[in-house]
Amino acid sequence: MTTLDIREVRKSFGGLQALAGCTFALDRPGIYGLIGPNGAGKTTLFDVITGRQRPDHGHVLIAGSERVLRPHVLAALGMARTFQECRVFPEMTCLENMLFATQPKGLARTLGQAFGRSVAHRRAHEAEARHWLQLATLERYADESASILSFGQRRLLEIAAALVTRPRLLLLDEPAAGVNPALLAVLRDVLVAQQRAQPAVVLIIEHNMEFIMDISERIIVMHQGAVLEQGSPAAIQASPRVIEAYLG
Amino acid sequence: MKPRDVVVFAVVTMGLLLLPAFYGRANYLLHILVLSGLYAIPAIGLNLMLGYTGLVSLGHAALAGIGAYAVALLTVKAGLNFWLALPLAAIASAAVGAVIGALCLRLRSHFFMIVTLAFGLILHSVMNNWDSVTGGAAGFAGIPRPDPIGFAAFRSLPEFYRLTVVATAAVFAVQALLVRSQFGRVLDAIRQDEILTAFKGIDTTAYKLAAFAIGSGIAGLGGALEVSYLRVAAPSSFDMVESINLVLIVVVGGAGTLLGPILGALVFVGVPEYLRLASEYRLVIFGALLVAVTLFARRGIAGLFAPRRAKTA
Amino acid sequence: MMLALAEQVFNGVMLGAIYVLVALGLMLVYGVLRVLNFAHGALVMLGGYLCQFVFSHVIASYPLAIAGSIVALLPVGWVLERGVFAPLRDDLQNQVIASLGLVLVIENLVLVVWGPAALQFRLATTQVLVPFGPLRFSLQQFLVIGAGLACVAALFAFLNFTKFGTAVRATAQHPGAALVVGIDVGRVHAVTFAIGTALAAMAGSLLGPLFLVFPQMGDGPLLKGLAAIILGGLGSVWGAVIGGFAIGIVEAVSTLVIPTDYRDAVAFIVIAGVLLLRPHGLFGRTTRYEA
Repeated sequence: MTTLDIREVRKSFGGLQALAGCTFALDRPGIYGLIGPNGAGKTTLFDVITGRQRPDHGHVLIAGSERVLRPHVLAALGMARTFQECRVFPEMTCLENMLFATQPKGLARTLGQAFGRSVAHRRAHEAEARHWLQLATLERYADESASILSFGQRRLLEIAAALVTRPRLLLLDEPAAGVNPALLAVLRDVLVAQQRAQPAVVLIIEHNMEFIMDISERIIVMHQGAVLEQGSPAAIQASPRVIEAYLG
Repeated sequence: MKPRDVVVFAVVTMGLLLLPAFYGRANYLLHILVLSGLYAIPAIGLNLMLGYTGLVSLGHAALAGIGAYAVALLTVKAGLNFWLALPLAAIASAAVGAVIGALCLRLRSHFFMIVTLAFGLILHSVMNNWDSVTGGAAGFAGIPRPDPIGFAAFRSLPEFYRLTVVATAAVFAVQALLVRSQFGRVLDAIRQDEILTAFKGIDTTAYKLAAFAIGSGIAGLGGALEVSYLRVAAPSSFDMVESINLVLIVVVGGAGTLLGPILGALVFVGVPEYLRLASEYRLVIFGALLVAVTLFARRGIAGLFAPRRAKTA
Repeated sequence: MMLALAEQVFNGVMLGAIYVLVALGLMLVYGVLRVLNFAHGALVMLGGYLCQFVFSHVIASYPLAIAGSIVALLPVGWVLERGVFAPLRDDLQNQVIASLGLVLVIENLVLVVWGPAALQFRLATTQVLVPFGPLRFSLQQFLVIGAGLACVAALFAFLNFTKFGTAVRATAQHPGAALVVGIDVGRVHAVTFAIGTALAAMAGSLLGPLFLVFPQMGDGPLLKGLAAIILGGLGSVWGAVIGGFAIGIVEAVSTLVIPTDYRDAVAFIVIAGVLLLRPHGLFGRTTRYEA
């Protein structure tokens, strides 16, 4: 089962064609960069993958599952994501943010537990959560409310909280935007450590070229709603078509 | 649940149960406490929705009304034992709440509030006008006090007072167990960021529906007890004004706090009686308090005692 | 039967004119400030009281009494906007809760000042009957319809043909962009709320002489106004106008076929039905108000 399989996806808004037959597949774990000039269709593609938009044509298969799926089903299939605007639970502590997604999720189960003996789920994941917080240099904020963090720190918390669920597909929407260089280095270390510990398909939309070329093993360039070029960062940087697309 | 909290809870409940032994003649005090309890119970239901899940329902009193008329019909018309009718009344409210919830929960923020308001008004209109079943505007009279269980009777004021204490304590305990469990943490997460919660793998619609149904069921329980105390179910007890009063009790008492609904109900019922205020003055003051809480003190009266949100460990 | 129907349609148009005024006030405040103001009905009621007060204690001229009511209500609206809604900007939930608190404050202050008994508001225009085909209606009914349409026209002209009106529309469509192009958003909010308040005073002043002046007289118009803007799709003047007249006519005509006890429920069923079946209103498109 291919982790993420995008076949001939088309999507228009009124007369504007945002996606015009976009096709690519990601299966081997690794960090993939998705780049392209403004209006290339990256955000629409993310919306289609995450079920926010329904494609007009074509297929998106996540772990072999078709259809536009609701968010919690996507999560159950092993997808985790972060948001361009960065979302964490502001009134939870950092540790609670990390642990939230590792707890039981089914309604029947949590309701039953409320009146029964609660099982110590928390303990099992706490060590791992603290490990990721440490990598993200947030361990001293473990018991502090997430709302006191700076934007860059919240971004790191958001990504760490996505990693702790051990996703097989991780979508990061502009993770480097608004993050200072020191924290960007931390972010890079976290993602590299993640690839070593629990390999997954990580797809990153990013405008920060230096960051994305450095961290990705493969780059997908989108242009006018379709894939223009795929290849290693070095090959992409040397591609005349890519240069033309960005300059044109 | 910390052992200390359980001890405090048990001691306070016991103390309230013993109150008539010392103030047996203070019927007025007991009456006020009964009324407070009968407001606190539906308010706890609303707190689960409004305070913990962020669902502002403006038709909550009408759902209490479903339980009230259900218990009236089941005991008077069907001749059922009160203790059989009571859970059925709560289930009826929960079921109606679930149906309304299923219809409303697709809508966001303002639209959700307006539709809950509209459903509350429609239900009230039915209670007020379906004379052959509900007794219409005059109300449904002749509802019995609860049947005795063994040697425990519930006919006199001190007896009904003890029943109200037990019922309020039980509903409070249910609220505490729900809120401090993973279920409650999910509701709290939905209030903070529903989209993020969904992508963490939570079926948020199912949880919101559950909160709506449980909150409505609790409201139905309160409504059923209320009409058993008053011996009559009147539509004016379940109209828009009462729905707003419940919002007021929850918000002024402290939305999203365990004690908020109870403190709110005690203050709402008790303080005006203590000060012997005319009802219009009391509503001016509480209206102003409601505005003030939204502006200055989000966690209401309960927040004054514990200003910072307790860590949910 | 046809005559009865025609009579109810006319009554519906008259009620509708009042609902339109209420709906326009609600819609403007919602569209520009993003506030769902449940206290709008209380403002309508206060407008009715103020008009009655001016008419019976200050000057026995209906137009001047209406003007007096508007002038007297404006500071109340200003206090609500500055003191409550502006500090709670973008906090939808608490704005609604605060507006419920304001309903309690205003309605019960009126009870304290004027007492619970309904006040008579006798105008010559309610006594004069004007023939209209085979039917006869009071002059006040024509006056209500005329005044309602005049307000709609004035509002339409203001929004479309004045510079400030353009700023109001721009703020409704895109608050961020309005700020960027140098619109004083705070001032737009204050003026919009003032217009909404004036429309409420107008509605209350027109409604008072038709029935009576009493503390709950604003509750019905508030709910009907809400139904109207939901029916009209929450975004446009025309939606509110069509919605208001539609609710008024449906309500009046429904008394011919269903018991009058359920008359008020018609509006609520419209609210619930439209929101559940067509969340963007009957004529609405997707607007930015949908989250």
